[in-house]
Amino acid sequence: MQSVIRICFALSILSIVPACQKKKLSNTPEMGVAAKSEAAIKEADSGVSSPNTKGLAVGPEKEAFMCEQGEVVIRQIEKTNFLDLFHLLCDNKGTTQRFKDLVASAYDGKNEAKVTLISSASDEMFNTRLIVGFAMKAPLGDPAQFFALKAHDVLLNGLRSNRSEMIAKVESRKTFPGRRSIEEIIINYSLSKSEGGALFDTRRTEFNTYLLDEARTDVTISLEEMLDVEKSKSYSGFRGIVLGLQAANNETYLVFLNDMFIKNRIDPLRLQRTLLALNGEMQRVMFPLFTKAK
Amino acid sequence: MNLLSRSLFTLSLLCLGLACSEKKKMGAAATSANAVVDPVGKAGVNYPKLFCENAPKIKVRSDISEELALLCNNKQPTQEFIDLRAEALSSTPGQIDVRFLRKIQTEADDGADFMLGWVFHVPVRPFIVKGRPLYDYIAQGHQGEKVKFNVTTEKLPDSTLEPGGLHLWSVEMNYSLAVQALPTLALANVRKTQYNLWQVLSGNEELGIAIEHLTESPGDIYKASSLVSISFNDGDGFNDGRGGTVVINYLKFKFTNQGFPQTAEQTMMEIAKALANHMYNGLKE
Repeated sequence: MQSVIRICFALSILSIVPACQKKKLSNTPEMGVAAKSEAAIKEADSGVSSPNTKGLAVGPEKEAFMCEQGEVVIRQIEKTNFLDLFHLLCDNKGTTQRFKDLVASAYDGKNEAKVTLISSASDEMFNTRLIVGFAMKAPLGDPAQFFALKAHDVLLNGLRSNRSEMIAKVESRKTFPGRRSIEEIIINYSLSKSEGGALFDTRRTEFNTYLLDEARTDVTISLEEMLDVEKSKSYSGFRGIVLGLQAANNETYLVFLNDMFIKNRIDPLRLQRTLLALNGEMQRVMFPLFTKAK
Repeated sequence: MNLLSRSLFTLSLLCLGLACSEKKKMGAAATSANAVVDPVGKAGVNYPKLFCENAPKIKVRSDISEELALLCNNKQPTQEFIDLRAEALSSTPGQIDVRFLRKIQTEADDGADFMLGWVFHVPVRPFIVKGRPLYDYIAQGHQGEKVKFNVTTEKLPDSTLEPGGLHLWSVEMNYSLAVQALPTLALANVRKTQYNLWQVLSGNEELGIAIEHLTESPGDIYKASSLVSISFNDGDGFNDGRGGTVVINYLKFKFTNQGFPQTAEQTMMEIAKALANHMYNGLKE
């Protein structure tokens, strides 16, 4: 049996096993299709996060504004395929407990850079979907500064953790591309190593940051979406949300959710560990940039 | 409350779905049926009528039919025209009421379509006004807190003017606009226009029309931009050195607001006010 798995793994890496991709994940919606209820996402305990707080991050007014206007903006820019992810952080009452939990364990440069596994599902054909979340408490006056710092550029140096490696290269930047976006960044990610094993996973994404009100830079939402999905041999999709929320004392919370739908993996747990580790490393790599800006 | 203010307050604001539009007339015609003010001054000349009879005959270089339709109907001045003249004559020197006549912004395509207008009166006569370098006044640019624009000009040779002697000058204008939409990032764009001045009627020094139109918009930000300024003797003189000048201005912009409609609206108003003040200050003495 083990030798069969090894062969399938090798074949899948080479992407010559189309039969392995025929069956969809039974409990996972199609990527890009809107409105999946939060309850439908199966919780998974990653063991890397154990926050517990009932408090708000910055106060009810700002969080209510973020949640109400965030949904309005997502609908206005016709990105409703992000609403299910957005609703993991915001519901009609305001920020969710998950949002509060992520904020409570936000990385501030001194504590542990935690990553919460929100959902994990795989099928027998080794298609894996992972939703992970984390937050940073950055020394930034407001979240609009996040893009001004060209934060994604630091990923070019690579993320290395737990014998895994990923490099992201910014392909282009366009300021004010329209539809409320203040910046559109095209990013090429290359996941080249997973716990020592070589991979060839690449994805190309478009990352846009939006103000929720033209006159306010204290609350932002960024949406990242995979491009050329149909051409990818590694991913069936990728979506990311970053909610930016100005806090007191010249600090800003950045709350991330990443939803990855990866093809052709023989060992979902290994992949899961890799992505958790790399998302944690991303926080550690990015944080000095914020400190320097301060 | 004067007639203009009444009309501005009573005209409706239309907000339909994601598109928000506002259309107004600049003068008081919409609400003042009995507000006819005699446009014939001491010199016994009806300049608005003369303008409407002759302005459509000029071979201009861009479409000004919308502006002409606001001022003239069947070669006769509209009530709008008469009211604007009256407003200019009764205005406090230097107090220019710049207002939106049209505000249409569409979410789906980031479209913005603005029309603004203002009037003023200066004590110098049109003959002198026509000789002034309006383009240089505009080229002073603007350095506001959030909105900045710089302008360079290049006067085109007389050989490029239309034949007939009514085309007095032609200038290429290069605009560079920066709007500090965020503390760390500015919306920036450039555009080129051509600015032309015509005398409306041969042998009549008292009527002029200056028209600026878009010639180039890198990045296709601007779909159209125009400034139409008509100037005519306030009625106190006719080719005799007497009288001042009434100037009626229409500024139009069609462009992509790049997803920032509020900023676009504020910016247009700031630009229009800057242009209005530059023109007035250049012509007032």
